[in-house]
Amino acid sequence: MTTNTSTTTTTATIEADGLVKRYGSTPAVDGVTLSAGRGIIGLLGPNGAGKTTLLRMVATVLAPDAGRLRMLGLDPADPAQRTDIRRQLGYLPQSPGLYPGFTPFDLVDYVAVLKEHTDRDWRHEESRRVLESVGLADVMHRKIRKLSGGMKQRVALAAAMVGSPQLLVLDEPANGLDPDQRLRLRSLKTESSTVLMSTHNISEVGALCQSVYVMFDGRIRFAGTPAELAGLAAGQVWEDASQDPRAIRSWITATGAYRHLGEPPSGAQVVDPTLDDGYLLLARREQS
Amino acid sequence: MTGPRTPRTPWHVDDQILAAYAAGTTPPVLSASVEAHVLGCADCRQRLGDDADPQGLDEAWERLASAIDRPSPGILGRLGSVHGSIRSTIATPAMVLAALSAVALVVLAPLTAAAVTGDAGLLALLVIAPLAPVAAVALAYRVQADPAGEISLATPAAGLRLVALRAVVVSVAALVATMVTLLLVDLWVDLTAAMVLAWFLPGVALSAVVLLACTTRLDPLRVAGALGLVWAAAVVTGSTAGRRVRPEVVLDIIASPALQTAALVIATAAVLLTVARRDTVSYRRTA
Repeated sequence: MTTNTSTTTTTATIEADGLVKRYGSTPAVDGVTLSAGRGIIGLLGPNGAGKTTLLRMVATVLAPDAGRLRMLGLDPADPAQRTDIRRQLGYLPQSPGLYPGFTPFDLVDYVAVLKEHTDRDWRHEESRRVLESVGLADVMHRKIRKLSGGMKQRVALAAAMVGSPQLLVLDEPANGLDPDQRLRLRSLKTESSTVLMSTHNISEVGALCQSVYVMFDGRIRFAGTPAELAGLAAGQVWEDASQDPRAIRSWITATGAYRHLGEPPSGAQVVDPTLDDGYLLLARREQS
Repeated sequence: MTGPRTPRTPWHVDDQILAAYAAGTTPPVLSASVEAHVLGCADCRQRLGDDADPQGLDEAWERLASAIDRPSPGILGRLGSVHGSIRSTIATPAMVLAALSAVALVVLAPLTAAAVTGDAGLLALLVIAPLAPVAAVALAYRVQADPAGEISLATPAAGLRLVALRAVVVSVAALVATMVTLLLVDLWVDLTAAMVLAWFLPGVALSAVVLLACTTRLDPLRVAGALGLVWAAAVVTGSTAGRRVRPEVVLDIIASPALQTAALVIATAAVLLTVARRDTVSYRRTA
């Protein structure tokens, strides 16, 4: 996915300060502070880390219990400003519900109506454009219930992208896509200047994102570039022919060698860290 | 003559312009000239065919065919598309389902009862008529009833406008169905004007309370269920006070000015409160 970043401004697109959301007494998001600019922003973290809750607040679907939140310089707590945010927002929920009796074209057109695109001809043209851009040109007039899971996911993605919103919030956009479709997602062009996406797939972050946030237990534990995340594990990754009990984490690689994470023993063959190494090290620190 | 006449023209479109036309980059006036000439000149038509992008042509045909094949909206659609966006906003499967259930509830149950016995039919009608719009409002709000609810919540149309619009549409469907039912029941039982109209304000009041519940943490569907049970219990208890079913006793109470005024006050207060609290409809405090 590539964004159109031709216009530059210094204001952050998404700003959060001490953001809290609880379910009962359990905090799902527990004091998140972040300031994200333009480009594609990745949100990583294990299941239950609060990624979806954070995205739903950014998508103005869920109100925070405490803290300050601003998108595109606007405050979602204010009804008028919230509507303004929604005019410039595209949202792909984690498990998007779709009307099975609709065609992809009907559904995207319906979402465009909700986004206040009243010009019918323009709307139809735009609906076709986004459906073509996600590779659904052939099935746009087929009933959604007859489509595969990956196709449904792309219908919802097209619905999020309709009208080229400024801010695109995508909750696991690669969910249900096969490797080929995942690859195509990476080259998808969007007019949106900011894309905030959560993912389980670390390599996706490396391929797509200009910046990355990692969440554990409702808190942001890392903010930086993908290279910086990989850099966390610099000098702490080594490879060996056998398992090493001194490593805090070891796993066997495709070449048959063991890859170890931790304080390398003297004489160890230290290798360049990857994004996975950086993430795993961070996760390990959280656990202990 | 052997075949269509092809007028010979002394000049032809030059290659550069023809290529630009095929690529769609010629200005409108020049395009019109090229089209006028190509229509009459087989040579240029042939050359244009060589230049044209077959994929682009296929796509153009596809677009044209799909525009022609698309079914026309029909009378209801046309009526609704006075404002195109309103039509699409309410024409979701969830809404169709809600409207159909409300109509079925209102029409089928009392008709069956009325066919068996006039009094029981009237009783059933008294119980159900005000509850149909209540069910409609609850169903209109219920996000679970709207599979794409999460997507629509993040759009500028989300909020009371969408909920209220949907509720009104389904309520109107229920209203019409109730009126039709009353006229059909009239074939078995003689109805007074009071009987035909008395249920209306209580129905509006109950629906407005459910709409108000939409702005709180309460589940509107549960509130609707609770209100429905209370209403049904009151009507059945009131009707069966003696040895035989006497729904007309309850009807008199419902049609009384005191109860009608109370219903009007409740409805007005609930609607005003809902409007004051409209913000919470689209910005949820709970999951």
